[in-house]
Amino acid sequence: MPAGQERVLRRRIRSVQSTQKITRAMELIASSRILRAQQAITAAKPYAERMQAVVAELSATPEAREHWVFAGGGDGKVVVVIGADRGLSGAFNSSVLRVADDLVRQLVARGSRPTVVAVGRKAVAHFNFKGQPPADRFEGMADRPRFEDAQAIVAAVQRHLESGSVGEVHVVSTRFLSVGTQRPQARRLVPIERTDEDRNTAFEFEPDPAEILDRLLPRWLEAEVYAAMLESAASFHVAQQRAMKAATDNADKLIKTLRRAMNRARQDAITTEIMEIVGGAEALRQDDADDEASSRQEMYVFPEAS
Amino acid sequence: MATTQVDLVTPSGMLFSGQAEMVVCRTAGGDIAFLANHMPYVGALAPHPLRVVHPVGGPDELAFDVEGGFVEVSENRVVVLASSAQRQRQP
Repeated sequence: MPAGQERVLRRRIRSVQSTQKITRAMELIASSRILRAQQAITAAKPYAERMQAVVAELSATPEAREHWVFAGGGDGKVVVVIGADRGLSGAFNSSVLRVADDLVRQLVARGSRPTVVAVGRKAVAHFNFKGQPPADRFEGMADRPRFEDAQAIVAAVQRHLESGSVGEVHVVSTRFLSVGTQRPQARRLVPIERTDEDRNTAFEFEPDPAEILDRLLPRWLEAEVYAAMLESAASFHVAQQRAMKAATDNADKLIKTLRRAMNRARQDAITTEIMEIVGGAEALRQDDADDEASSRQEMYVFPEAS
Repeated sequence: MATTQVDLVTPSGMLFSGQAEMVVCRTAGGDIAFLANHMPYVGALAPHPLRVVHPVGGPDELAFDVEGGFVEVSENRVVVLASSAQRQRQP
């Protein structure tokens, strides 16, 4: 049924075209969000850097060096996994979650049961699916993280730390190295890496270093988690933009192929129709000629039919 | 008068950065003022207005509401790290 085939193809082209409209819109939205996410990263950088400098200052101070923040505390481990809220972003979620799974497996192999704090709907769903429901879940903020979101996450981590049994905090997130490069990475935040250089500047601390550290730790974690969330969001938008661009290009290719098939089907239909008309005309002409011939010669073409 | 570099930094960006004669704030140990070349100092801030006195090229005084955080002083540089802060409205 050649005419039917043409209609089917026309319908498929229309369907691919409307999908393409959606993917193109998503591509444009993602690329506009990349810039905004990058600006947020830049705005948050001075705070994180200065915070880092204060922590480094403290780690070089003899009275503070032995604090558990640097020396390590309990055996418990907290893993903060930062994913995205949405999919349609290529391998973005699966690659960061693979790194998270590896880390969890390593920690389990070393004999501890890590507590998972999942950020982003996809991360929560992943751990639920694996039968390791996260201790704390944060959803709906991964696209455009605010500092308050980071504060809420750190408050949850802090609750685990204050129980006294937790001595390590890890964060798994996608680092935004540049628009071209993003890499999922697991980092240990607590215990904080000590700078080994001995500082000669004698700082005056108010209150004393240990108490400053107790107060500084959540603030520092907030800065780090916030930075990780911003980088993850920017990486997500880049991944989505790339995935949607690929989908749009693919739709273009598909439309081209389908249109070619449709044109051929239409041409086939036309050719068949012409053949039928020509065949019919030929048959009629043949009939007329036969009639003349038979009336003249009384010759039966199909003798058995008479 | 000698000045010191002052940076007031929050997670959403740099709120103030420039030279000023004096910074006054309240830490766990009470009110404290930093002039140029103050000795190295790290303190936890209490929620309290923070004053930047005689900023270069600015008005007589800038006041900010600071919601806790830290102040670090070293090498003639006062860095205020606040999880949230905003410029006080002129009365």
